[in-house]
Amino acid sequence: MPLPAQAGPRGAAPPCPLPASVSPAGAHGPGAPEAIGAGGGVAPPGAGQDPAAGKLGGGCSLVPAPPAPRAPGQPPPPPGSFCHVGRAGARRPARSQGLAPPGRLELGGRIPHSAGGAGNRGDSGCRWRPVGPGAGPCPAPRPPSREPRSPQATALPPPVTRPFALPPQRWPQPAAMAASDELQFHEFDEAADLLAMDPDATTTSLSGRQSQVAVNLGSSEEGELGEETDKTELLSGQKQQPGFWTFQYYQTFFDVDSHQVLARLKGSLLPLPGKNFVQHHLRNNPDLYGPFWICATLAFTLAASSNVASALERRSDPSFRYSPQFHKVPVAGAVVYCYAWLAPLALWGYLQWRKGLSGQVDSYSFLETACVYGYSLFAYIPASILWLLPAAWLQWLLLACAAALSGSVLVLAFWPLLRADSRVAALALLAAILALHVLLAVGCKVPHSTAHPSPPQPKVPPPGPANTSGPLHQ
Amino acid sequence: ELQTREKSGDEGGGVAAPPPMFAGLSDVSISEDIPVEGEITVPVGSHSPDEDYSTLDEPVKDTIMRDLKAVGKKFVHVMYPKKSSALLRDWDLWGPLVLCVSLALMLQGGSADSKDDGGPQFAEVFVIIWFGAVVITLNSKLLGGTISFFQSLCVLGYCVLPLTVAMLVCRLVLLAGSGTVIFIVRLVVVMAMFAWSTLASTAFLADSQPPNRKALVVYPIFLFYFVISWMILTFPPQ
Repeated sequence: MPLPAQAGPRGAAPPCPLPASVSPAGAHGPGAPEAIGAGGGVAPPGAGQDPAAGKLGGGCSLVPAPPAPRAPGQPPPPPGSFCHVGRAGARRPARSQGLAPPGRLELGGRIPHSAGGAGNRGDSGCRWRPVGPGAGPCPAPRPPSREPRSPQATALPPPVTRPFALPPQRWPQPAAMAASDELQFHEFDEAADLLAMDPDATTTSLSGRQSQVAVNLGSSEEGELGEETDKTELLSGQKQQPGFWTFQYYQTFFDVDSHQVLARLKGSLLPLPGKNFVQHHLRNNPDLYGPFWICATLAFTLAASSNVASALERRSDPSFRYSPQFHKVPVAGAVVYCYAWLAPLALWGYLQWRKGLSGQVDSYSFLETACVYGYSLFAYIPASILWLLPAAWLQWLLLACAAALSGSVLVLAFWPLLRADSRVAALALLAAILALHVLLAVGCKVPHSTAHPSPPQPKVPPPGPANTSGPLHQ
Repeated sequence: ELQTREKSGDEGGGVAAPPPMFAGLSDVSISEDIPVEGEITVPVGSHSPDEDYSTLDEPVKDTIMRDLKAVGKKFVHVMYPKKSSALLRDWDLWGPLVLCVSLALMLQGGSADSKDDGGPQFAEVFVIIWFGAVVITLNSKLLGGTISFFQSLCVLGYCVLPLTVAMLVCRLVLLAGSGTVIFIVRLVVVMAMFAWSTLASTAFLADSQPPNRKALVVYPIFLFYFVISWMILTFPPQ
């Protein structure tokens, strides 16, 4: 943490000393800052009043300092001609290393530095903003509380209390801006210019949850009215996208509540023709919880029910020895998971390709596609449990029902995307989707039915020609 | 700021002091030229470093007994689940390891004879228990749970204890023969222990979850213990 030329008091960061050309004759407020810098905002002294009273914060504090070109010893100019904005620091004409380079959030708030624009930058963010002679009184520094900044105050946020903590507010509200338009408006202009000139300055934005706060580096969408875009972002409920190596990135895939998952499960069991699963239930919030656990449950129920069904079938056979056949569980798991992830991948890839070819075909994101597939598999779970019932016709009927239900969920979800495409291609794609789905169902059913073959032949071999047919039936 | 903190440590003897305490020091200003000296002393907290050293000298029996007692205390907590944080605070994985190994060993007897007799192999049981516990922990953390990774593993592992007891009972009951009555007895015992396990682990883990997602966290735990119960119940009689 670079310190300005004069270190401050022990308990607080040092105050901003006057510019070098000014003699600190009482105009310096060393006693003023109590919680400067690392501390939060402080109550600013009154306009043009004693700077030693009150505290200097990151906000503008009024120091009746003479402008730079004045020779020392001259009476200080009327207040307002040289406003202290931000933390005081040695007046340096050039960029100082104390300012936050792009991408770094520095204690003391974000200070975009301009290419030698109006105002001088000091290290640690102290700035003196020369003001025109007829500009009027120096704006009263803003209190550090969370009231909207008036543009006449400094354009810098108050220093934050902790590193990477967010300043309570960054830019003045538009209303406040308009209201104080007649006042020192170029303060805000300058800051806005700074941001416009250096869009790579570190910016932060608040999101609804602390855990998802992300430092938005170099956000190019932060224009001059950075706060307004922030607000619209917050209002639209968009989430910041943390990097894929962070845990928060994966948490965004599990951002569902219990009732939402229940609603999605119901929607997958009862597809209504008008309701597209993706639009109606997912609503831009696809999750991975449902697909993952539905696949796990399905794998287990497939293996377990086939095992129990075969045991029930053959329990009358005295030579039958029950075996759990636990090896079916990993096999079933592999099959189900491969289907639930590779099929959406292929479909998504195909749709992206078609979108590239003809711009009319829309596409869901991969996550939404995988989500639809995962939830559509839910219909197979009750079917696989009901396969315990021994009647073969019932099992095939259940299979057909399950395949129809889940297939219709898929078709309803993807049909709107393909409407714009050529008939042939659309129908071919839908047929492919359905075929794969039915193949999965049949693939689950066949091991199920071969696990318990037809009832064993009576042990007493029937006399005569039936002898030869006996072993064939086993 | 580093200097400021040093000063705070020097003055107040505590690292984190509320700002108003040092309000009086705001008048003091130190020029940058003067080198600042000081020392940081960490106040001696509740733990005394002497304790750590002395465990080197104690007899081995004491060390082992201490760990055994901790494990045993957690077993008691599982069998009588109350809202106590002892299980969560001092987690250890000895108990889950012992339970997992004993359960896997007991499940081995079924597949000793023929190789395509498909009881779960030792590796399968081991992997299912540990991998399942890891996946459930990840799931609860991704859903926003505040419990730590190893605490959750500890709870899930310890709550396998009722099912291990059920396995033991099943093995003993199967020694008496195999029939429908025996099967009913086994079914009842396994179902009761499954319910006990699920309730015990839910009692420990549910508090750390966001309230509108409790069901989402409980279901994988339910599935996990169901799979283990399934393995126990389908243990083939000799």
